[in-house]
Amino acid sequence: MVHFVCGPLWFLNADLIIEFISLLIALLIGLFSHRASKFTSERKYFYFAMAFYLIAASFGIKMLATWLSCSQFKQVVFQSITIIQYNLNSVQTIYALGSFLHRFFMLTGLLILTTLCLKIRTNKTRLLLLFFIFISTWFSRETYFIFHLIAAFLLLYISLSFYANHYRKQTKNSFLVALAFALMFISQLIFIFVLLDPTLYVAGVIVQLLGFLSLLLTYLLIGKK
Amino acid sequence: MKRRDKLEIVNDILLAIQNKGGKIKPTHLLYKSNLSHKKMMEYLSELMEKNMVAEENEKGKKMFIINQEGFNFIKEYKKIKEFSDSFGL
Repeated sequence: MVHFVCGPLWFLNADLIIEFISLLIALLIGLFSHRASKFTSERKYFYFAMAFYLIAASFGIKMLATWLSCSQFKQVVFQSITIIQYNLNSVQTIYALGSFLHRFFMLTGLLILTTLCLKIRTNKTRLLLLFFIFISTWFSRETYFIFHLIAAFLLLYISLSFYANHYRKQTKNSFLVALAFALMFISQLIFIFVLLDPTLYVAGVIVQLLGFLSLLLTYLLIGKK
Repeated sequence: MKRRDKLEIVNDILLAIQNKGGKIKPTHLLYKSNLSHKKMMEYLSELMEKNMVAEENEKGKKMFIINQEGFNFIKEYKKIKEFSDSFGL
């Protein structure tokens, strides 16, 4: 039996809308970076675009999985957390795959951002890190915790790097980027403790949304120039 | 001092023309772009091929003028530079 934590039942629709907003913002950043990679022919913009495309895809897969599971399957409310039960083996397999892809895409996107921030340029190192991400998301028994723990760890590195960039540049945009990833890092920390208090899920999603809105503001300010 | 990349040099050339009201003498451009004469002519012929810059004669003197494509390049470059600085890329 596969269980998927969706947070409180009353929050399901809002959750889907928030994830859709985050998906659109990630896509916008990815498309801009893709345009930059074509303009400059520099690989770093291409990798940056790929990272955001993967994050957008991760949100898309999660939304689809949540929507499918919540519209077609039996919901069990346990201590005000919505747990969806899957009784059919085939559906269970499809859902498990969707859940894996969501985690794998998100972590791979964050990993690419981390390698860019840490200036890791060798493909051997990148592949090694990707292998560990795959192993930890595929074989882990505590997938939920492991996923958020790794995401939090990667986001910590990314946030520190963007903070260092802001310290050097001292611009409004560099501040907004550093703030965005710091908020995403905090949201992952909150998600780790969701099973202790289900309302934390709502807090985590809102903090994550604030992070993406900060990225959107950066995008809009760049576009205005 | 950091070495300028190709796009940065192109941007500097186009900005120099733009800042002179969209039209500049070769000697001024040579001074503003901080390049050797040979290098500057290489860049200018590429920019003319891409329709960013055009050459014209004004009272018997050679002038370089910036085209719409050149203005578009400056705008796009500025956005990408801002993006790159914001994310520390």
